[in-house]
Amino acid sequence: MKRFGRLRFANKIGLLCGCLLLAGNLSAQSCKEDIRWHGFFSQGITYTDENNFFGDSQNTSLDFRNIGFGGAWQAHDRLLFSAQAIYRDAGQTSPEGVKIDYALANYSLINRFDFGFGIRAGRVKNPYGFYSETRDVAATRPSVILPVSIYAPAFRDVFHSSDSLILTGYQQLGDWLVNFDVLRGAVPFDKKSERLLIPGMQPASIEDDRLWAARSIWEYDGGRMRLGATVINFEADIDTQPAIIFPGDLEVNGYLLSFEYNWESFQFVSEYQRNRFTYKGVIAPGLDTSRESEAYYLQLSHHVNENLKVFGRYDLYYADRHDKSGSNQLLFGRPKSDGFSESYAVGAQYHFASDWLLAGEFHLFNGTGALPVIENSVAADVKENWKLFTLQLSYKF
Amino acid sequence: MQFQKQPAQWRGVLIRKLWSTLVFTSSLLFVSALHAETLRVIAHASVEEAALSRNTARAIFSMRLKQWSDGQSITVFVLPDSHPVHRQFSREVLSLFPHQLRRSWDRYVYSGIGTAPIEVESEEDMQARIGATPGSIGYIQKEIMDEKVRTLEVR
Repeated sequence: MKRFGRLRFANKIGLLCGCLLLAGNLSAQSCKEDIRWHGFFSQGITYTDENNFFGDSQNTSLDFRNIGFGGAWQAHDRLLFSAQAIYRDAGQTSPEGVKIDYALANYSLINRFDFGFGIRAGRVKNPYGFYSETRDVAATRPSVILPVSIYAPAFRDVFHSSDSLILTGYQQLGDWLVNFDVLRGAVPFDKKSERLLIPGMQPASIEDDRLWAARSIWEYDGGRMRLGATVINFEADIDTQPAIIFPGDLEVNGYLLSFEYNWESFQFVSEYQRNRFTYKGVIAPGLDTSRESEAYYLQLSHHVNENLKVFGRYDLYYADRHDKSGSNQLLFGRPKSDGFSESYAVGAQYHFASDWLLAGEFHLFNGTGALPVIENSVAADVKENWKLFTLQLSYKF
Repeated sequence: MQFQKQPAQWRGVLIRKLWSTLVFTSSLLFVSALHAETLRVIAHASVEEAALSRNTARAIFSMRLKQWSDGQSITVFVLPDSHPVHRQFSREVLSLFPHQLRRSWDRYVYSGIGTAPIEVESEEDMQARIGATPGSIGYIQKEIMDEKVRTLEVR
């Protein structure tokens, strides 16, 4: 199959990166530059008064843990090899064991101060909005839990990384720095993540998937203001035994708009997302059905001093913007509240030592659209209104 | 005995006081101006550029630009985020907050598309490392004591 060829190609690149990284390490003494190692660790504690988030959180869960370790080798000014392994525990939504998070080669063809262009290949982090690429590293997030409307933890593995080829570049235009990335590749699904794209989480598998993504971020005056736009197109076959659902095709088309403004010690961030999911012949043979999700958040944060930052956020999500009450969720035996999620959050981040971070926050939810179904599988137990407290300790180097 | 100073004498005292205050304040201003000026962007003597635009300095210190115009590799040294000289450098030379720089380094490192600058503990280390590394760049507030290190103007 054509797709197989491409996937294997991407994996080979990943493998090659790993080997080169290893070879680079062995011959480090003779190299111009050694491998630069990095890593991160975080441990969260989560409590919810109703529903489950990151494990059995109604009884206080410790199932939120990220451990990452990686290295980068600048083989040449133009050529960088890098790889990172990750262990993630996010309750029942995370995969088992250690995964290759990325393994890539980055070649820069042009690198001037005002213009650059390069190619990246292998297992890459998908360019998506402001936070996706570093979402597992606590210190890069504005909060312990990213806005669930757009960065729902349960969906982390769906579009987070891919085996892809990326064209990337930047151009300085006066006070603006324009960055762009264009990606073409395939998503390395596992059994858990592919189910999230199947209506009603029915048994089925995603085959022959193809992902396009393009992102442009415009930075004004070194990042005082940032404007971003991401578009994605994803196509795949859904393979299943005809029963409640049928074999067919899935197409996802979406966009994400991002805005950030920094003023003195204040930062305002907002992102708006729409994704249209079209299922062809899946609900019934010969029938096309679609839903369009809508999500946005508004977030204000304030650096009280160099070490302390506080934030407040409003976050809204609809699984289908034409069904805001969530009635369609009943078709698959889910409560209506799975169709939406509206929440308020406040919290603080404290850098109590260099590279160490302690963060805590409180979330007030109406709706369960951002909850993992797998951890809340009994529909009758799902409560529409719930609260979440979380504390997290993290370290990075 | 003189119980009351004549207006003329008062004027004299006032003028002298004003004068000394003026001298004192202006010398303070002068000293602080000198103080502010002593923050220097420094590079290894092999670097050909005499001056950088602020956008170029941002491209270098955010780790986007990897080579000097003559093709030589750029090596960037920085002090820790919390170091007062680093903060002064970020604000005055790059017009950025230290956390903005940190964000772009983190994005490069943790998504595997670049590297962070090399962090040194003190200004002495900074100067020694730059003197020993062709193509390197950094900043200090202290006097330059190494002939292999030169200053770069950022404008």
